[in-house]
Parts: sequence; structure tokens; C-alpha cells
Amino acid sequence: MNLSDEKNANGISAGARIKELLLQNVAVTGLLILVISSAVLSPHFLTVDNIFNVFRQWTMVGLIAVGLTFVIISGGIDLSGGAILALGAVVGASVAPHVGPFGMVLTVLIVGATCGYINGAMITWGGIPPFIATLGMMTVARGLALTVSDGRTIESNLPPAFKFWFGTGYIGVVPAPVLLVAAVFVIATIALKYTLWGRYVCLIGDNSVGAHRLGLHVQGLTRNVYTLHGILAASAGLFFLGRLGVGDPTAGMMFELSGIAAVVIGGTPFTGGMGSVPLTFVGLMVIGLTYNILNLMSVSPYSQDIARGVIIVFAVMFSIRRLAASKRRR
Amino acid sequence: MNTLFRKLTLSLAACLSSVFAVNAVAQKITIGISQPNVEHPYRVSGVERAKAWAAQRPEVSLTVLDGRRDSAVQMASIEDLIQRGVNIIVMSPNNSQALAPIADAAKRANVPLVIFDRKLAVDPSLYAAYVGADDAEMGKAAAQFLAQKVGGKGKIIQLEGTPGASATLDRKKGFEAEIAKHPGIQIVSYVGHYRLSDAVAVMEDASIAHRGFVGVYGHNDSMAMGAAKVVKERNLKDVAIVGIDGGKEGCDGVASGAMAASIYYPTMFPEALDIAMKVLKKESVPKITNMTTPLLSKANLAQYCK
Repeated sequence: MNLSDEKNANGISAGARIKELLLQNVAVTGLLILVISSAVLSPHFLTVDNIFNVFRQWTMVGLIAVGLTFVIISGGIDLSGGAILALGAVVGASVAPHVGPFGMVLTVLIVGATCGYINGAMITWGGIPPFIATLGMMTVARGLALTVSDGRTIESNLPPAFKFWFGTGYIGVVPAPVLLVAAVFVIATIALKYTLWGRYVCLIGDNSVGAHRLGLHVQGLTRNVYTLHGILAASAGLFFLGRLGVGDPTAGMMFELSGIAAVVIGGTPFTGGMGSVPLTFVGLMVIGLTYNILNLMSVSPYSQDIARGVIIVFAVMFSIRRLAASKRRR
Repeated sequence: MNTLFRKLTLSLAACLSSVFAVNAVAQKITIGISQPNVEHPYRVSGVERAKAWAAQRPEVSLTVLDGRRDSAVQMASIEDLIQRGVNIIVMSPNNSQALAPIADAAKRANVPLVIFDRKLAVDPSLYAAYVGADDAEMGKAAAQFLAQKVGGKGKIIQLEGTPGASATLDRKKGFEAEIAKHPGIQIVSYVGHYRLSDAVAVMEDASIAHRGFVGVYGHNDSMAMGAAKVVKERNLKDVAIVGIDGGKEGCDGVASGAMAASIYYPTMFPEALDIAMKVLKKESVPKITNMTTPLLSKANLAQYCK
């Protein structure tokens, strides 16, 4: 580290500095390569219309990915995001005619918080490994969504204000839901990087025994993290509802896996202890833009899956290598 | 854990029902229905029709089991049905090949099988009857309608169902074979997994990549309605959208003008149950019953939509 600092101070050529910068974060480099090659491949790619399209399509997975960033940093994992999304969407659609936009959003967020809190409780009080506890929640929440909706897609008359902010509205050229989710990303970034709570979350993932000896309430913090994930996943359900206008109990299948991929591509290790919300966004865009460019190029839908799988594996491989290298240097 | 629990509860239920069966006046006819899943709108309305049918027949007791989109789960649940000694099993396999061994098991236990919707890849002697509709014919009907509607030229976007499912393969095959007769029409395919949300996402991309497309063919109505949503939001004019199923979504879509047509795919209920009753009464039934699949448009909406 010292060596490279000295070099920089001495004024190395601009090319070397850019190289250093690009290597420092593989996810960003990968995203840049993806954007440039996509722009070359399709004339429709780099248009305002298309980019905001992609942003809006990935708002739901994005919210789950933000929650997962905290969960994974704290040393856990959560598989219930997609199912909580579906439960949120179905509950939202069912209560919409009775309680007005604010009541509806509040109800859904409470449902999500409850699911998330139960996840945390199972893990901290029940001593169940996070993978199993949240797998259980994934099944239960999906079952609840199917029960509440009676297996049907619930069509609902949504309040116009809700539809505007969570679905079809535009502020200038920016879709309103994209603005809302961007705000969530900014707040989450600040919470993780610049608050004591954020540092505690990193600490319990890095060294939970140490955190405990330091006097931190590790179990309480763990429950907080899972509750946050539940709230964000349920709010993703609100965006589903706003976008499609219906509460679909099968919504959000496998979203948790895309979310996990986004977090890991963004360089957060499965072992926890460190990570970054902006880089999760970069990971999310690596996945989202891959889907988009394959669709824009009308690649055969069957081979699209192959391309996506390969890109995700390579992206994760490079970010993990980079991580290992940085650890060695330390 | 999960299957163990299911088995426990099922066997418990079986014990209880055998206890109560003694008290029952007459022996009830038990029919087991196995659906590959019970959350898809098509499956839901099938189950509802079956229950309505059974509600009018006090001598029949109906058990509906969910295959949870998993061939192994469905296999286990049908084995349980055989163990419980139901009189007849009415089933639609999650996967034609994977569920094939169940035919032997049913034969050994002397439980007749009525297959509906999706075929079972076994020798026809192993089941009593099959009720279905020809997916390739439906694809062809959609192609004929769309080709005429767009005047034989332009780009048509095909929203495919779950890859590998027999319905997807046949709906695609029948459609593409018919469109091949119109050299002016180009097909672009996307996968929407039979879901509204997936269809909306790919249609947003498709409508950017293929400006000026003239038609959309969805392998089901959910996806066709997803396409209609994007077409409406983007203010695209003169796009003919055709779906398949003719359930509630399709009826609403055609009625509102969002869709030009939907090919009606029958839920096979209560027809499959009527055939099952005939099988139980040892009456002769046709081995294969192909239901008609009419094209729903504004003209004949009242006839098929209730």
C-alpha cells in the first residue's frame, strides 16, 4: 500500500494511474466494458429511454439486493426476499380498496418487517442457521401469499397517487419509482458507511465474538438487519404492484438469487465483514444490462440463459480474486 | 422433513377418513385430482370447476393435490393417493416423461387413470382415457388470425412460455409452421414464462429493439396482457395482440379491446370428471378426447365468457 501511495505521490503517468483505478474495482471495470460493448452492439442501447427502462425493471431486485448487502455483511444470508415481495404485493392489493395509499404502504411495510423480524428471531433465539431459517420463511411467505390471494392474481383499484410513485409516473424523464429506489440506495449508502450502526453491522460480520466483548448487542443488531431486509423486500412488492397493477402470488420467484448475485458481484464476500451499497448497484447493473442487451439483440431466448450464467460466474470470480489479492497484500 | 410431514398428515388423514368411512351410510366414490400446480389461473379455474361439479354430487368425495411444479413432489402425492385407495385418479403430469412410472404403479394397484391437459408418455393401454386439446392447432389458429390481421407482412413478437413444457413447444411449432407460409412476416421470440411480470419486462426491451412491430403472439393470456400493457404505455398504434387460454384475463382483454383475440383452451373440467365417472361405471369411453379450441373475438365473446 505504502509503495503505491509513494508512487502516486511522485506522479506516475496517467495511463498507469487509470490502470490502477480500473483494477481496484473489477465490478466497475466489468460494468464499463459491458456498457461500451453493448453500445457498439446495439444502437438502441445507450438511449435515455432504454437506460431508465432497465433501472425501472430492476428496482425490485435492487431493493432486495440492498437488504441483502446488509444481511451478507453481517455474516448471514436471506433467501426469503422474493417470497416476501409476493406477500407484500398480494397484501397490498387486498387492502388497497379499504385503507388508502398511506395505510396500504404502511400495512405492507409492517408485514415485511414482521417477516424479517421473525427471520432474525429464528436465527438469534432459535439458533437456526440463516440459510435454513430464511428457507423456511421463503416457503411460509409464499404459502401465505397463495393463501391470502386464494391462488389467484388479485386485481385491485389502486389509488392514483400510489400508481404514480410506485409504477407509471415520470418526473421529467426519470420514472418516479426509479427516483424512490435511488433515494433508498443513497440512504443505505450513508447508513452503512457513515453511521455507527453501519460500522457495527460490519463488525458483527467480521468478528462477532469481538463485537460481543466490545459490549455490542450482537443478537439485536442481527434482528435489525433481517428486519430491514424484510421491509425492503416487502416494499419491492409495492413496486411490483404499482408497475403491474395486480398482486400476483407467484411474483418475485428467484429474485433473491439475482439479488445475492448482485451483492457478490459488487465484491461483498459471503463471509461478511465488508461491503458497499454503491458496488451492489454496480453488480445489479451488470446483471440487468446483460438481460437488456441480450433482449435488444434478440439473442435466442434459450441461449440467453447460458450467456447470463457465464457472465455472472465470471463477474463473481473476478471480484473474489481481487478480494483475495487485496487480503494478501494486507 | 417436508415430505415426511406431508406423508404423516396424509396418512393421519387416511386413518381418520377410514374411521369415518365406517360411519358413513353408503360407500363414497373417491376421486383424486392431481394438478402440477394450483396457483396458475388456468389450474385455479380447473380446480374451482371440479369443486363445483363435486358439490352437486353428494356421493362423490374429491381430493385435490398440488404437484408444486415439481415432478418428484407430484409423483409422491399420487403414490399417496394410491395408498389411500382412491377409486380413480384424474391427473395432469408436471412432466410427461418424469411422471410416466406412476402409470405402472396405478395399474398394479388397480386404480384407473384419467389423464388431462398434458399427455403422459406411456403406452395408451396403461390409462383409461385422455382429455386434452391440440396445442399445435391452437398455435396455427393464432397464426392464421394474426397473419390476416397484419396483412401478411411485418414483425411479430412471440412471447414464449416456460421453455421445454409441451404446451410451449407445440404452441410455438404450430404457430411458426403456419407463419412460414407468409414470407413477409418475421417472428422474433422472447421468453415470458407464462407470467405477466416477465412478459412486461421483455416487451419493454422488445419494443425498443423492434420499433414498428405489428403483432404479438403470447403463449397465454397473461403474457398477451403484459404486452398490451406495454403497448398502451408506449402509445403504440395498430398492434394486434393474440393470446391463448380464453380464461378471465383473455375474456377481459378481448372485451376491452386490449387483445384482438384469444384462443380458448378448455380447463378440461368437468369433462375429465364425467369421463372418470363413466370409467368407474364400466361404460366405454373414447381413449382420446380432443376438446375444441375456438377463437374468441369480440363477435363470440358472450358464448364463452361468463
